[in-house]
Amino acid sequence: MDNLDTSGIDPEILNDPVFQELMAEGLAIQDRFSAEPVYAKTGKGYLKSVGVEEIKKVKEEQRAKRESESAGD
Amino acid sequence: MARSAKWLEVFTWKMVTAQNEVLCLAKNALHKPTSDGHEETRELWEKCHREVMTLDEAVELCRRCHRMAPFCFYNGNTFASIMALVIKKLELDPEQHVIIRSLVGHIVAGWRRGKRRRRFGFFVNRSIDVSSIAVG
Repeated sequence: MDNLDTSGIDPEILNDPVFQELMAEGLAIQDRFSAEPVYAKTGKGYLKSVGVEEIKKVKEEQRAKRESESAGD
Repeated sequence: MARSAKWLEVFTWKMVTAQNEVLCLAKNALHKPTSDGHEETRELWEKCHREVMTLDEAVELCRRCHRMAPFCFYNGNTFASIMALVIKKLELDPEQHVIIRSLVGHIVAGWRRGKRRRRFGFFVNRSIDVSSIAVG
């Protein structure tokens, strides 16, 4: 984000905390989307799969948290 | 349990446009409105985004706007990131958050259609307690 030339964007929007969060969300998932408007052209969109890694990681974190909580009882 | 809210109220068209500009900048892509989709999409967004709606109606608006392709590039990411932020602001447990964000992303991207989309609305309205809305 820091190395993007955002000088053309209204500073009021650029400094809006909601917009800053929105940019972070968009940039984080950017590589999963096609640049071209394939959905408009074909009626079927494109989204690159991230597989099960994310949900697996969350489950492991949840399990570790539960275990540490029960160990502290 | 409040299932309807002004989910998209804070996301003005100026903000949507700026989001697309940033995403295009990040990939050295051309940020430009389309001649056939931009005006129609802007009108739809400005007419609807401040309204009270269910979460699945908000998802549907983002999906429609993605399909209408108001910009030359990165329409999907522009509208999917809006819904990703809305979902992030819900107080969901981490597992539920990942599942719902993924479902929403697929719908806005144009992957899930018909029955699957309707099932999503049913699922979301049943599983989310949206009494604590923190967007904005």
